[in-house]
Amino acid sequence: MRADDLELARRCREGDAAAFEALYRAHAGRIFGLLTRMTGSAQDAEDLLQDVFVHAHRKLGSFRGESSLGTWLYRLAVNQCLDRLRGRQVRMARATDSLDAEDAAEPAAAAPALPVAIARIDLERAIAQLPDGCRAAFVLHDVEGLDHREVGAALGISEGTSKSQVHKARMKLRVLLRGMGTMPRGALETV
Amino acid sequence: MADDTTLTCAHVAAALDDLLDGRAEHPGRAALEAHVAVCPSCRALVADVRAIRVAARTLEPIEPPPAVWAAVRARVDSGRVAASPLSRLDRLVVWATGWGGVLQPAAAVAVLALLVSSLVWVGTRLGGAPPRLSAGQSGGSAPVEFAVAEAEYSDAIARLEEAAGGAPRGLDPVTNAALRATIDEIDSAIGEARDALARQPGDEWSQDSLLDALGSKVALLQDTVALLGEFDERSEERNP
Repeated sequence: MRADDLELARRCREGDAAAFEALYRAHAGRIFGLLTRMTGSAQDAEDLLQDVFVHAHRKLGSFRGESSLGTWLYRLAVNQCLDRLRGRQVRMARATDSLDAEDAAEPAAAAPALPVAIARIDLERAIAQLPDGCRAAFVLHDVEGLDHREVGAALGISEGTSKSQVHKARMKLRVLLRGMGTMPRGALETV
Repeated sequence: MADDTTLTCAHVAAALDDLLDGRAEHPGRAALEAHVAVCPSCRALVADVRAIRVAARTLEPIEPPPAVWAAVRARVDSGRVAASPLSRLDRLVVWATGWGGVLQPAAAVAVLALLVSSLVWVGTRLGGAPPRLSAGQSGGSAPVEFAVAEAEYSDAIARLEEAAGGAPRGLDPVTNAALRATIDEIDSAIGEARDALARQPGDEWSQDSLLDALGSKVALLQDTVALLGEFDERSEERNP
């Protein structure tokens, strides 16, 4: 696996267009999914995906095989994405304030629960509506499977803030998903 | 942590993520679980968040549009690395035309690659490939949401067509012909999606196809308008 990655990287460095296309085809879907969910914008994700692979092509000389090419590209993508998101920080702060207010207004009374199987397209739409800050933490933690320490390191926040952001995202998603008219209603009877 | 008798829903909410994220050492876990077992509100909360977590872990990769690869390849081939504020077609064509405003043969290939990618996209959509995000799931656009989106796209297309002002000026005949052919193909896809919706109103696949086709046309027209502006500016620079 690692030897294959090193060989692929070597071929890319030497200008093998087929090798670079193979690299793109193998990883573009996962990275585009990450970028789309992190930014909440398909257009931003398309631009970022371009940047990720153009930079990857330039930086492949620094790839030493300590991690897989997939992990190396993934880190590059997260960093590119965070650079983009930092440019939206002011708007993010406003949106997070709004989120807090909405959470506070959420009634505590018992209500129909979400269906056991949430439609993925509904979840994708709901994720896109999250404020940037908690969306990034949610995507890295709940979608990508990073733990809070790793999320904190990636986003430049503390582990506690990561937990807080993920919690906010889950609560906001609950509100959004329950508000979607296309979703069937039902309740889980057991915990 | 409160004991069983003083435990409230607020305690459950505060400890929810620890409970669901598997931090079993959370103090008072048994009491929290006992409360959840008898409290419908907390039971619904726990179930909902658990369902969200499960769904989140099942989200799949999203295939990017083919134009992205064409743009990556063009940028790599040209040696351009720095991110540009220009859109995809701008990136290709501004690079392709160079400062002399003359479309070079290799650059023309790159422009055409993007247009061909759009054609491939149209063909794929018409061929019934799965939509990018749906992965076979239910849901889709609500009627009102779909109608609003369609109206917004149609309005944007009308304004952009007006801004483009008919025949693209400044483009060489080959690129111009390819651009027109791509728009024709997208129009054809729009027409077929509308026909399908006339036969089956509310069909999610047809709705998604129509919105994708309209969105693709908006993007292409936006790129065209921006490109024409670029040509006009350069023309003024050369002939003040």
